[in-house]
Amino acid sequence: MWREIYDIVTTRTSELWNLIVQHIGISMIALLIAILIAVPLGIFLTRTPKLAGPIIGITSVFQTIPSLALLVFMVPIIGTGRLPAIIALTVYGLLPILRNTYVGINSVNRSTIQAGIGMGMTNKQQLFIVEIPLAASVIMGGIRTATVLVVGVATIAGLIGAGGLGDFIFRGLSTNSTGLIMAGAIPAALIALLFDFLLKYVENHAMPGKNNQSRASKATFYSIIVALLLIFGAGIFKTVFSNEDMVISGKADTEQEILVYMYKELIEQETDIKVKKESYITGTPNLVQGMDNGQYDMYVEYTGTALVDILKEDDFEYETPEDVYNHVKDVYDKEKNSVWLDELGFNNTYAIAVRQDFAEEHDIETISDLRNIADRMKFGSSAEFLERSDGYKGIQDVYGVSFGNVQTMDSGVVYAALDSGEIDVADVYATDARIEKFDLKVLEDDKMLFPPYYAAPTINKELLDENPELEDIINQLAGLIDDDTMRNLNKKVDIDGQTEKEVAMEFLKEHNLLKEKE
Amino acid sequence: MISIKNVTKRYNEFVAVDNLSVDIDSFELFVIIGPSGSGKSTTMKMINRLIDTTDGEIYIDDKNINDFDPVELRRSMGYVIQDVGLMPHMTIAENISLVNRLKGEKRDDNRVDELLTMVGMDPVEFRERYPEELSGGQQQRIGVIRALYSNPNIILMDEPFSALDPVTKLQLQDEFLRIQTEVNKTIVFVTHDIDEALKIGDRILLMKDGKIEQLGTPRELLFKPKNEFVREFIGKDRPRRFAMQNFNVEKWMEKNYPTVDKNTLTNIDLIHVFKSHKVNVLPVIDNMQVVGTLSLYDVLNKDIEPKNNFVTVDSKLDLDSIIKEVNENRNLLPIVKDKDMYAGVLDHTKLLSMLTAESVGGEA
Ligand SMILES: Nc1ncnc2c1ncn2[C@@H]1O[C@H](COP(=O)(O)OP(=O)(O)OP(=O)(O)O)[C@@H](O)[C@H]1O
Ligand SMILES: [Mg+2]
Repeated sequence: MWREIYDIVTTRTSELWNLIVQHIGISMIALLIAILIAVPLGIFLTRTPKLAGPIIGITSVFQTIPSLALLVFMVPIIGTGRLPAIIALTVYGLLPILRNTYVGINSVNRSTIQAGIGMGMTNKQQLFIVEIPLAASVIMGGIRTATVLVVGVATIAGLIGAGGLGDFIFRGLSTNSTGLIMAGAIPAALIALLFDFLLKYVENHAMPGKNNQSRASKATFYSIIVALLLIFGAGIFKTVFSNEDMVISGKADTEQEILVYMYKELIEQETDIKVKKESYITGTPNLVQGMDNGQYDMYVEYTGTALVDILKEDDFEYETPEDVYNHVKDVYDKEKNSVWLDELGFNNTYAIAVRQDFAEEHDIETISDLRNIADRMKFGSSAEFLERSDGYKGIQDVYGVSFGNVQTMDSGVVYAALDSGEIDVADVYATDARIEKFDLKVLEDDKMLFPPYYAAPTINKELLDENPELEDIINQLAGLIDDDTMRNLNKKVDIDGQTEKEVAMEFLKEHNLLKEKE
Repeated sequence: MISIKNVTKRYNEFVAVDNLSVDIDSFELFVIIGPSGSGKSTTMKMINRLIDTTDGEIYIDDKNINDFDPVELRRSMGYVIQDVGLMPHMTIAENISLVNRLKGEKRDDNRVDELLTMVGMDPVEFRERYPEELSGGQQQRIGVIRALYSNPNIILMDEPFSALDPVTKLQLQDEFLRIQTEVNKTIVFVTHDIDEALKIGDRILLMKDGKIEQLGTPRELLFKPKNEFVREFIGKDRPRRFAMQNFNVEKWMEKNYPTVDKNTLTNIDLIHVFKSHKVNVLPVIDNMQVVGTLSLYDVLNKDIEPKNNFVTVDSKLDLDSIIKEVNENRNLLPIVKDKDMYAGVLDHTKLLSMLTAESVGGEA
């Protein structure tokens, strides 16, 4: 495992670094907003004690909502990406800061305040000369708690495409890579610890009325403050001022990520458009919504997914895969704000896989062959497959195959489970590199249950109208990537440990699509 | 002048100050004293507008304090609050000069040093310390000079010396009295310490349950207590002690007591001197020095040699020492010397009547 982590850290340093900056960025923006809301609110509450109970109560309730749930609530309302993540994180940061501000200011010695007023302090002077300085260390304590909390919770932002170290963690989970999980989790923990340590230092030294600060420790104190400001500033700057003209998104798997890198490179080298990559989004509906509301401008969709999941036309009759492509393209043209460009070539359809030795032992070639032994088999299914009409339901209806035991599994663990014999059969994607790695047998869909899942880019109509040259640029990849090519590219990342970006660049180079940089 | 007119302060049903009317004269050192909870601090806070009156008005130089801007009003007077209330996050120098900061002015370091020195604290040592690094008594002194810093005309002091040891306290009281004679402020001074009140007060207001029990000079409270509560509060022993402490030999001695010059002893009719002055012993003086005494008995026996039958006391001695001295030499003539010169003679009987001072203390 350490070897794996080491490899990732050394080969993907810049990506890791980007994620760290992103992670700190969204955390710090959320924190800054939380401070800007909670500190004044806390001060206000000390002036209106009657409101204090209810308002602090409400914020406490917010904080008891599990972070995942809060994030998921937010997606239908605000969509995916940075905004909902920052909002959710802000909500998390509020309470500790609010409570500590309130308590800190209220616990300032009454007689000190009385003396101040007695000497002729205005309300403002009372607040800024007496109360805030004396409550500073308590308020800092609240900010510290909030920071550690927010930095921790921010890993979940990876789930909705907001970036940050959660990105690595969720990719690691979905590809069953401990190294990737750790490469995300360890820095996240270290960041939390670092902030905890630095802010603890600031907190202690915000303690007023002591002459025990030597010159040296004062220097340390100020350098820590400066360091904190720089980290805060850099993260926030990166996040706020990286305004790009076009956002490419993608689903949370390796092949999509590779494609995102290819398109980003192609577009950026041939146009002035700045491309922002906001990918690895879990759940197709989130992507569709992002496209519909203009948050994302482009992503690669599969014809089958569009037909069944997005357009809900699972009863559409077709002869050839081309029919499906043409149909969804037509419907999109009429109903949606995005259009389909040319197909890439590969068909990442669902497939049913068993271990090679299992197939030989039971002499299985097609899905139909499973009928007789299905009731003795353990099926590990992705949640999505279980729900789909052309998924497990189709297997039952069309093939008459019902497995004896069905359990839901993340696609990340399915291969390991197959390998260890924990399950006997699973649904996989046809282009998944791990089919080779784990020596699996893909069973033939002899009754043509699964619709074709040919991949093709979809792009925002308006953007394309404004930049018609994009069509040709993007279509450079059309027909260039068949099943084997895609599986091979996936393998380079998932099994050989190259980065998605490297693999993407390599591919473009091989096909002479990379312009030499002067 | 601070005029408190029919002022009442109620906390819900509880009456902390009850229809109080008092005029505090300009340049007066006005002491408020009374049992705990009698409304002393409440009264002070109302003068400062730290709390509002429930009823009645307070005027400063005939202007209702409610017509002042409260911040300006407070800045125009010094206030030593009962709990000291130093700013824990500011150095001593910053604390003392806080008013400067509030007004957006520069701090006057000389003034800070001067005040620290005045209360017996070394500026170099204390300027840069934080309140936490001071003893309670030292903090209290800082609280006092913080109120004096901007030289306000009105100073409110709520038990400013309560945490001091007796010696420091006496020093500060003396210093305080000295300053008051020099600069003349209007000072309202709350204390629990009756001796302090009697010592420094021009007038004393004795309160109980938010009402006046007695208002008057220290002497009036001592020697003309209005009721049993005042008598109790002052204490049985204190009038006598007060009289004794304030005993002045020069006032009590007989300056016109007859004397004879040593050099004229043989030339005058001594018996006539004794008879005309109705005395039976005479001091013999030589060049302003007492050289002895003559008694009528000896003169009748033709003995005119001055005898050593006298005791001298210094005019600066306190009553206790004088009485002790005189009592131990009961049959000798008490002669008062001022800077070694003859000054007068003390009357035995009159002196001993001081011990039951109440009857005479008022006039002393
Ligand atoms: N904010 C308040 N609410 C209710 N009662 C109060 C409040 N402040 C003071 N009191 C009451 O008013 C009365 C007078 O208080 P005050 O502080 O004037 O007493 P004091 O004479 O200064 O006593 P001490 O010598 O102990 O300082 C006390 O009985 C006190 O309990
Ligand atoms: Mg009091």
